[in-house]
Amino acid sequence: MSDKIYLDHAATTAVRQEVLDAMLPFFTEHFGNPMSVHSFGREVTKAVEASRETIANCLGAEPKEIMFTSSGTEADNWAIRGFAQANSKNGQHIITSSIEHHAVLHTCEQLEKEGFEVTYLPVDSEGFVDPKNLEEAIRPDTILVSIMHANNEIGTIQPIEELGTICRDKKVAFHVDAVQSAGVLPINLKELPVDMLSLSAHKFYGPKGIAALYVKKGTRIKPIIYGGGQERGLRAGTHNHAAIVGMAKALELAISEQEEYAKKITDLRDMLIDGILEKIPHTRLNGPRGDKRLPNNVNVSIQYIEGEGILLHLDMLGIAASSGSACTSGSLDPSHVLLAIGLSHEIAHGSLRLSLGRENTEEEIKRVLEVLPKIVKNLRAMSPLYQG
Amino acid sequence: MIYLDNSSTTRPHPLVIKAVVSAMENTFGNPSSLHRLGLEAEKVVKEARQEVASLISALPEEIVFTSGGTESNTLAIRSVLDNTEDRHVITSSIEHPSVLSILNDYEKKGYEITYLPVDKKGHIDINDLKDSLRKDTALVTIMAVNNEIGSIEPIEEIGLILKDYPKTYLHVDAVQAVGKIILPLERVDLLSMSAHKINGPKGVGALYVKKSRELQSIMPGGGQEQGLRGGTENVPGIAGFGVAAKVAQEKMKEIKILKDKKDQLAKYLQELLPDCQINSPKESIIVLSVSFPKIKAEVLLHALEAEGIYVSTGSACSSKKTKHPVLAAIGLKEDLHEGTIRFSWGWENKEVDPKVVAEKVAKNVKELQTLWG
Ligand SMILES: Cc1ncc(COP(=O)(O)O)c(C=O)c1O
Ligand SMILES: Cc1ncc(COP(=O)(O)O)c(C=O)c1O
Repeated sequence: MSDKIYLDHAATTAVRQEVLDAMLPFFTEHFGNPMSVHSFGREVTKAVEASRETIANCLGAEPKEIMFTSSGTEADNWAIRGFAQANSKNGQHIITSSIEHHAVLHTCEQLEKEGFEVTYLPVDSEGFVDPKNLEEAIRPDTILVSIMHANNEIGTIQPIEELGTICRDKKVAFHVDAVQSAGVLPINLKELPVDMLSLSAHKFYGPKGIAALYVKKGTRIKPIIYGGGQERGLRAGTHNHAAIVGMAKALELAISEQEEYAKKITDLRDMLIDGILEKIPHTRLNGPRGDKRLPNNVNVSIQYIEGEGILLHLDMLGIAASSGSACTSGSLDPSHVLLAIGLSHEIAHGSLRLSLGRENTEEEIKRVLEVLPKIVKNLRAMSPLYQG
Repeated sequence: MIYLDNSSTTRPHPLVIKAVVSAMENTFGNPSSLHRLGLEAEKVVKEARQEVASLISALPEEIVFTSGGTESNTLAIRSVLDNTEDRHVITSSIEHPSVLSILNDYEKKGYEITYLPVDKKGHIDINDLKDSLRKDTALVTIMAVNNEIGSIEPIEEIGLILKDYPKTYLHVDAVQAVGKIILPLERVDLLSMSAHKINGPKGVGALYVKKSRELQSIMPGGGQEQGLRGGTENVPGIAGFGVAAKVAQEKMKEIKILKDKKDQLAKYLQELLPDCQINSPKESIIVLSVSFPKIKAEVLLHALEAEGIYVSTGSACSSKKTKHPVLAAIGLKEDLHEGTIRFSWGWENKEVDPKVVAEKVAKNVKELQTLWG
């Protein structure tokens, strides 16, 4: 391992060599259009369908229930907009949580402008949705509930089985954004009361530009991208087949290594959390501890300094981290997730996300624990807010 | 092997594959991340944006990356129609299904869609467009080059007429045109492209959005692509698109090589098979659509495949359906629809002799015709 330490796996992961190897032949010899009748097309169709089956098997779904999209964002957009539009006759009320990814929240906001009503459930100080709150929020005209499996910023794992059971009982569809959990946590759709689920390959060492939406048989959904009849007429566009093959390989590998990986990474995570809280005063952990936290997520607020400042100093030392979620890190607004768990603006601004991955080692964590306290100390020494 | 299905998809250029693989191995960061890996990924995207912009003589900030031509078409049409009170759209009857099916959806919602007819060679009549324009025409969407027969639509003239309708958006599906013809962008507001049609990777495309026009996002997320198109950028795909655009721009100077091959194929086929009918207009660059009486195109396709020649019946996208809307629109006799083959030329065919192709086609057509005749 080089001296570079990558701790931003929640933003994206590097494609595994095995995945890249699986993809390469599909750039070179098998480059056809799956819709073509000739053998170039047929080869590719076979690969796409085999990949669909692999992904379905990994999730306990049927191949027909897996629809390919270009990103987790598209899968989320599609689940919510596509379902809302196909089912608006039955009601125009949607429930989600206040800590969802912007792909979900912004789609809900758009739908509000188009006449839908949306309830944003609050979360507690660790980021959990209270199932009782969900039960109370469901109305006769509620058609859809969308709650994420694991939060991308603070790692909170929602009780999706319990939430889904409530939805089933009330005959409301349930969408789960599993972009952060797929490949990290076990997901068995045979048993989970879930109607739609989003996953994105680049979060589990697969390629960018490919993702999937699980749509349970019998769920009615309208397309959001129209055209040539691919994906049973529900998602048009020439298949990105090399990436589809890569996604299947990546998920298959992740599932086969899941237990071992989760154990290793949980140990590193806790070492990092304990080390930071012990070595740096005036810090707090955001999100829960233990097995209700994503095994690879660490998120801490370090008082009196800006997250971006820490980030840049870490970067100079070759350590890649994030100050919030990658997508919002360009903006100056504090994270909506940190505000939703009750943090003040100042504290939210001083937060740091370190997300672990397969290649991280104990030595790397030790190094972070060595340099981070020093960086914080130096930054605090320059901070007018810090009194020592 | 002779691959003559380049309108369906093209073989990625070796430099494209290199760029894709290199991005996967070396610049895997998320462009939104603030650390070095994020910045490096952002740089790759920025460079590719410049190449794609340069290919169509646009500004980099006018390029929005998408997952392909289909998404670009959807983005263009939905973001215009969902954000205006105007309810009238003009299109042609030979657009790609990704345009027609979304318009069909708007029609059901109460929008009025005018489908301009085309002549035998697949051209709209500019006077029809003039007559159809109304005060409440929100959008004119016309393809630059047709994917099934290769006709080139008069985009520049359309633009001139639309100068009197400043509110109306002009969207051009240029998926088949990019890298083949020069696109007059002066009055074009939105223009769709797709990388895999120009020897780039699949799963990536772009929408040109004129700087002076504001669009509303139809796929919101983390604010990527100036807020217009959410989702973590497909950095390797975009890198590959950039290289493909660069290569395509250089090769465009030689495009006549491909057109000559297409013309020669037409000439030889007509000599060898006097009863075949050429559906493509003369100006078509790479596409040659030909109807052979008394044969089933699909059978011919497989016979040619056995000889190492790969072609298609109609377009890839509609080839699994029985209807041929484009062939119907150009007035082709119905009994010829099933006997129609599309040959489409690409840069990998530079050494292919059209005469050899024509001879093999003629041999197989004659065999099949006697079989059924
Ligand atoms: C004219 C035209 N428009 C749009 C498309 C769709 O592009 P993509 O396959 O990238 O979604 C195609 C190709 O199939 C096409 O030929
Ligand atoms: C929870 C969650 N949902 C959705 C997304 C969007 O996924 P993508 O980047 O593939 O569009 C992300 C990642 O950014 C995420 O963390």
